Amino acid sequence: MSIEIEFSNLIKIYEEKSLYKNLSGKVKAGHCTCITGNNGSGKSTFLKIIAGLSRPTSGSLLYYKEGSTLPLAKLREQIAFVSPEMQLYDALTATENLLFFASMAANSALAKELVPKALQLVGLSSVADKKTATFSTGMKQRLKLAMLPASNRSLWLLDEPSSNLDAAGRKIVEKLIEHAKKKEYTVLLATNDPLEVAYADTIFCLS
Amino acid sequence: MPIRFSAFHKTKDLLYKELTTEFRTRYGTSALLMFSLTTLSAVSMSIGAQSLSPDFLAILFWIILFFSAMAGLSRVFLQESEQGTLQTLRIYASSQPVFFGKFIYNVLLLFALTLFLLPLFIVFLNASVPHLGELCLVLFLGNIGLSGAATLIASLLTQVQGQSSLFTILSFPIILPLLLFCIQLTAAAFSSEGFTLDNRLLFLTGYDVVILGLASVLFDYIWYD
Repeated sequence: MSIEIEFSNLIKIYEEKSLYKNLSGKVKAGHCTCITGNNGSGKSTFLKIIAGLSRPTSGSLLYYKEGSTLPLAKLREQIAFVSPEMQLYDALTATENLLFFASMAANSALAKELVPKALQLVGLSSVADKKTATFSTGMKQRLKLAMLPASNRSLWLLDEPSSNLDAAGRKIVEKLIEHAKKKEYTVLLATNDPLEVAYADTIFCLS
Repeated sequence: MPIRFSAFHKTKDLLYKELTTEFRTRYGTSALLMFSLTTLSAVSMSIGAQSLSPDFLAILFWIILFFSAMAGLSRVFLQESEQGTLQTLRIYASSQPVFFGKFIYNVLLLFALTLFLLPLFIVFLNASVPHLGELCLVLFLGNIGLSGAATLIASLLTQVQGQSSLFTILSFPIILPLLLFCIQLTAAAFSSEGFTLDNRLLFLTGYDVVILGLASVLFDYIWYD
């Protein structure tokens, strides 16, 4: 079920600045791979390229599932992404937000089953029926993290998942990565936080 | 679950989300209703007690409807872009449920606007409608075409700055043929002659089918690229 990603000779030029030249490597199936690097080194852009939200200037990307190549259209159905740029609907409650995105990602029946568990996992069960407009930044980040298990997808892309989280929130990130490893999901983590880097099986450093 | 059945459910879920957020925020409906009311009042006050010809009434009605629609229909994607939810939606939702969910939402919004505008237009401008059934048919076909084109153009402009002004400019040439035929048929419905099933009605139906088919195919590229 796990997804493997192979990238070779990736070049990304953004606003006349070269983010990386000939970046090659492999994200192993069922592993947690961490991308680190200075601010502006292209960590978030790399995750967007993997998700198909941005295109590399040149180079190739191949996705594999159970040994056979996976087209990008099929890969998209497996991606769960948490990033500071991605927001939720302020007018909806925590449950409504999760149910909506989980239904879009999988189906309504599965979403109804997974959403309460996901809310419990991130410690938001008590505010499940409150509008997210009333949430603090940390609570919103927890809710975004809840989308990972609720979406039932097997490639997790995490861009600074612990940002705005307190110590208890950081524990949730750790729990989620453990959960992903147990389920043999592939996790790609972009961060500079040493605590988050410690969760990784493989580390890439962008310079 | 079969793919088509699942796409139908996802379209329904997206439509439900649009209606819930609209009901709670009222961004789209306020923009549409306020714009149409202001324009209608301005037109009505300038004309006064004059009696207008069916052609002139039809032109005024569609101008008010078109520009009011432009004020509200672009919001389906603009709002997602402003709130930062567009990327989240692109990750979790596939293209067709998004397009059809937003299209149906725009159709409902435009029907609501028409229901609000038409009686006021008839009263304020002292218009008589001898062929109400025909008028409803033209409004139905016109609104479907207008919503289809508006949803497609709004989606094209999601990455562009200053999209609201560009939206009207880009929409106009695409919607112009539809508007011309809608005006002609509405004028016929406002007059005592009425109209029968003719080429203009077939054109409106054809326009709706083509714009929806084209938009559905193009939207895959817009959504993923």
